[in-house]
Amino acid sequence: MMASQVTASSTDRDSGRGLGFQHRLEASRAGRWLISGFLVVTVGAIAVTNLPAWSVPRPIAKVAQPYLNATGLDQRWNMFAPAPRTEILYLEARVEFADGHVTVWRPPTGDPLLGGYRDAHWRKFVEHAVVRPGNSDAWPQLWDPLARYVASQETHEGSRPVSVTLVKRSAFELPPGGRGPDRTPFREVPYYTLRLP
Amino acid sequence: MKRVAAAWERFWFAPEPTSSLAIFRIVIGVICVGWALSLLPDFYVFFSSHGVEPVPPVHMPLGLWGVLNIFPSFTVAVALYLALLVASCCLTVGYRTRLASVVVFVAVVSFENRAPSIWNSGDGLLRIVCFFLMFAPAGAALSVDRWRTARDRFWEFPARAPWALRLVQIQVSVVYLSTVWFKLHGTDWLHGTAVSYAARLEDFQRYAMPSILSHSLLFSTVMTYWTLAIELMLGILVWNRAARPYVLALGAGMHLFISLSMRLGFFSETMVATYLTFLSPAAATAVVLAVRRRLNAAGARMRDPQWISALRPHREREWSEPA
Repeated sequence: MMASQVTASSTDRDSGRGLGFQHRLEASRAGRWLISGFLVVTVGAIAVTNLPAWSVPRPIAKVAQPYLNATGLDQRWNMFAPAPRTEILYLEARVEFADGHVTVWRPPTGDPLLGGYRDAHWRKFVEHAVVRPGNSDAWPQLWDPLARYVASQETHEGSRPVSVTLVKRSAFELPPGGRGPDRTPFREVPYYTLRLP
Repeated sequence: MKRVAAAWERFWFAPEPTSSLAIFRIVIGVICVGWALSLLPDFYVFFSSHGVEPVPPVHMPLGLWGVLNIFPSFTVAVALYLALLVASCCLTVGYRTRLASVVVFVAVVSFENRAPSIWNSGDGLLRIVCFFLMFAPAGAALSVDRWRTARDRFWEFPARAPWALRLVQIQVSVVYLSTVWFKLHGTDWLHGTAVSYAARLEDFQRYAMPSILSHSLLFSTVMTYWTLAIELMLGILVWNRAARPYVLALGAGMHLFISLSMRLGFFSETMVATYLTFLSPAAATAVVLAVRRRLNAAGARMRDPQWISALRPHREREWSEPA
């Protein structure tokens, strides 16, 4: 037996049970003015930050960005733009021990299906943590904490690392359509060494 | 002036059944649960003082904030994580929906601003969607909240002002128009090589595209311009009622392709979820009611004693067979 009549009501019939604050606000003229103000400011700020910088007066941009930061709406939709990265980036940390042996740490990689969701965080981290001269996406402040973290991971009873060296392994993609290989050979660039007492 | 005011009222405030919003809430809730779970394996690495970002950023741009920037202890991070997980489940089922959406938003913002090196555009989009969801009557239908307050009318979809949903729709449009604008400033997009470069980034690959395609200039050119065309259409034609279903289908196809070929986290999933806000309330209602009919039919079959008796001869035959 059907427990209730199945309908898609076009009007709200909850009034008998008392309306929520938001619904009362939306029902009043003053409330709609208030919400409209919020909408104008929010949509305006989103539009301003997504418009080309030259087209927006500086004072407006200076107000819009902090507003979006404060509301959690800060945004920049430049994925793969203006050009996709053409450098294939890998990160390794070479850990040297007092007895001379060396181990290599790499960021974890999971299976493509579910592990891909976890990996996305590491892939983004690697983009920021490897050396990329002149690229604002490279954050050198991550080097020292990363090396210290790797050292802590590789410290075992009876064997302590004496140094951790961060190495960028990278290759450049070649333009599509060529007859030869599609990328340059991989090159290794050690770019930061942490010496441990 | 009066006509503009009337159009404004109609666009933002004319009440609409909350069926699309309810579906959108459920899907975003599931994505938030997945998002939280994806952080779990490396939670200590990313959010503790012994990890790869031991302290929150010192110089934050004006306005950015986060609970973990104020209270950077790992204990607070764990508590916030548990709150996020519980609140995401509550958002999915619509239990104390408003509170749940606020907790989810605060947690997402706090995690993203605590360790800014690990997020991509998909994480940013999820944060933005969560912000808008806080202002939507997301628990008005298909929710535990609805069950608790109006059980006899659970399958009704009360009409509400759709302004929060409209903000998500505008945001979708902005994402695509903005990304097309950025791309048109790069030579790879203009020369038709961008998709080939993106698809061959082996450190980002999920399932590698056959090299005969990814290294083909013809394939890359077609796909590059096709991508720009779809994104431009999504930014503009999504507002045209007749073109909308086709444009959204093209967008969903594009994001399926991106999701299969690259490890971009929840970017494609969140993007496609935002398309649900464009689903007409009538269509969303029809989908929900069709699902309900199927569930009812399946439930009736399960309760039907004939279903149990139908198994009996089979079992007896099975038992009577010689070993």
